[in-house]
Amino acid sequence: MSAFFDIMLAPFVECMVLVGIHAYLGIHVLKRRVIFVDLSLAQIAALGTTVGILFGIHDTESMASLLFALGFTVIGAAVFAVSRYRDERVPQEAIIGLVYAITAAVAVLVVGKIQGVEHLVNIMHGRLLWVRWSEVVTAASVYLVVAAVHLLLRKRFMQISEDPEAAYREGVNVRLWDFLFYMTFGFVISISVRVAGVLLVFVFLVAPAVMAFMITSDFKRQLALGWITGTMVCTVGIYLSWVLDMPCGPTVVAFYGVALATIGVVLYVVRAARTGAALGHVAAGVACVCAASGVFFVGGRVLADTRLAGSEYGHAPHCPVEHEAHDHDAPEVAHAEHQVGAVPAAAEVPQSGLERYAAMETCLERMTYLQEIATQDRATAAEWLFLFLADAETSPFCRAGAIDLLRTTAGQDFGFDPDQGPLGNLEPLTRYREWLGRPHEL
Amino acid sequence: MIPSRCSLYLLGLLAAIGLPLAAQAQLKVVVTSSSYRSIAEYIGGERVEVVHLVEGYQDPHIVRPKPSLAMQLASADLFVATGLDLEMWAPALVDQANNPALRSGEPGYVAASAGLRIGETPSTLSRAEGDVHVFGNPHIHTSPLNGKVVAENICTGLKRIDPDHAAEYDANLARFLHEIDVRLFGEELVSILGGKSLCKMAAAGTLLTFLEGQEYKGRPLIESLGGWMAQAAPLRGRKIIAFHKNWSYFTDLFGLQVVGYMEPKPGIPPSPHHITHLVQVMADQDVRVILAANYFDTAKVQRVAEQTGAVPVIVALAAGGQQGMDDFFDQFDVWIVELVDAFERADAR
Repeated sequence: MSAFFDIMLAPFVECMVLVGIHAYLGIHVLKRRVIFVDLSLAQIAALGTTVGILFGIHDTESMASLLFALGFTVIGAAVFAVSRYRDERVPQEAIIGLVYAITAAVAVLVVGKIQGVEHLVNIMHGRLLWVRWSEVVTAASVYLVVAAVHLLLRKRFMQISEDPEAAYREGVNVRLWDFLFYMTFGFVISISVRVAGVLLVFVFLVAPAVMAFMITSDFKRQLALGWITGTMVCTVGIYLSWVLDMPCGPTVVAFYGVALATIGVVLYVVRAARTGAALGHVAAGVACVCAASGVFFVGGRVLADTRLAGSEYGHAPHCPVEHEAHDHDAPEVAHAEHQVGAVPAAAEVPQSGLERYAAMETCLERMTYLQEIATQDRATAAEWLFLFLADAETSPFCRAGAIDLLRTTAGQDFGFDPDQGPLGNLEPLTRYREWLGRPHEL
Repeated sequence: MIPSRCSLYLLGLLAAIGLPLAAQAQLKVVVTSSSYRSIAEYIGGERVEVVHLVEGYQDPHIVRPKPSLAMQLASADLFVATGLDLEMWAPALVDQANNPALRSGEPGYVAASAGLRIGETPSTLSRAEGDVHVFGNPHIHTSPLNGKVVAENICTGLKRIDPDHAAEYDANLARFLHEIDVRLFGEELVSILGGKSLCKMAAAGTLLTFLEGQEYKGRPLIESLGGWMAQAAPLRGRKIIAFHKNWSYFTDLFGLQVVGYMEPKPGIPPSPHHITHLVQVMADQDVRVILAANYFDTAKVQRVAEQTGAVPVIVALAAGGQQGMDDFFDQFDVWIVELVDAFERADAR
């Protein structure tokens, strides 16, 4: 169990910290009906980090990188504050969605300039499992400051979230307050998205608030409910991630989905005028889900075996062996010399001694073979030693070995110089050949 | 699709008109990995202009095809790809470039890995095992011995499309092969034993035992060993954790023992259990160094390193991926120096 705490405690505490501030901000977001503003701001923050990399700030956990993210969020906050009108012709959600899509696309372009896709994957899914304690502390302190600001200015923030019309009527500068709201919001998001990723942050923000909204309409109760459900979901989600050995962030996100569905169903049954009928509806729903799963399960099995599923590895494999085999001058023969990976096909065919000798690729092997032959058949060894010493590819080490061998087989070395190639040993080679011509001496 | 094709033709036309005559005499060789680039330049010499598609700091598995990549291929005379299923994006790119001479099996295509003995060919093929490479480990450029084969393949390809200068390419190849020998074993040992015998023994893993057991002119042969093999001697038998199976050929050659991977399966990101298991393995087996390519998330490596007191070595996977790693030869200089240094620091702790 200590391993569990070593690995999972920091992610869990980080989740708790996230739930603390996001459940609160989520209520604002739901009330303002700007659900996707955090996705947008998170993406803007991520774009800031990415642009930072472009300037050479490679450590995405560094302060400089955070400053880039914050700088971009301030711009984002300004965009969202400006794009809100009292009588909106274009829903603000459209602008928010556009900002998300455009910044995401720009991030892809920027990443294309600098590095691989890992950074993009991190932006989406985060690295909750890898959070450091120092990051948890930073996040907690920033969130506390933001919480304090919101506590001080709660009246105005709440009024604009709940009833902007009233604020407009009172002559409040809604745009300025919006800017302030989105800026604090953006600060929170840029910190949390670095660890949790865009997806998890979105769910942390919206899911607890949605659960709370389903149950009550009182702000304080909503906040309390958000915190409670958030804590429960995170605890179970982190534990599931451990038990099932799955990535932390996505597990928590998926479990939020399960929790939302469950709460929805329970509320429906509890609040229904006729519990029996409601239970019947739920049963029917469950049956539908089961039937659909069954169709996909069976259909998937059937389809996978047909040609509609394509080949197992998609694109036709790029197999070199087949193609290169057609080439007349394919360098397989050359490889054999260098022996990195050439398969010694010739070794399987039974061969005469000389063929075996000739098929050997290195002089070292040949010398070992000659030493072996010399113990059985001195005459043959002496003949082949001549070939060996006359070969320009024989290395000095092997030449020295061959000359030693010569002394035992022929009883003399004919004056061979081991440091010279065949050209420098012409005289000893001649003497040796003459000696070979007189077999009686063997 | 259609506008991009059109603009491709158009740009190709413009390039053809705009290029000076002198440049046209050069063959255009496009290679996937930046590591193949320096080899192709070595073999082709002044006869070729080499362009690479994947930077040294990028993950070669995933390359987002950009129009410029297809453009490069459209005007290429020779295309060098690894040939295993490393660059799954390559065939589509060749199709897109509309340059049929570069298709697999055509004269303009060189599979850099042809003729290599590929390690880690999977016995079962299943997506459940992660990003398994059907034909075995494709990160062939991590061994200097494989570099020789890549050079031979490139040389064959160049001679095929430009037979008039075959002698030149052969001469360059011979120089390249010799340079690998010398860099790997040192000048002295190569002159005593010859590169062929040395490479063969190094590939079989018997080199050091042989050198330790033999004498030449009254001196143990092992004392003549130089180059990367000698430099990497402190690494022999040491245990490391790697992120991905990027360096299998390298670790095999230099005798490093990879006892675990940061990824539970190739291409699949680490999960909590796997990390606990890894931390345990590292403690049990006294693993002091973690090796990762700089395209992975370095924070994860740092985190595990902090937890276990190990020294992280984060280096580029291919030439051009970091400062001081400009060509194929530099790769080994950097990797060996960094690893030896990491072990020294780890041992000092």
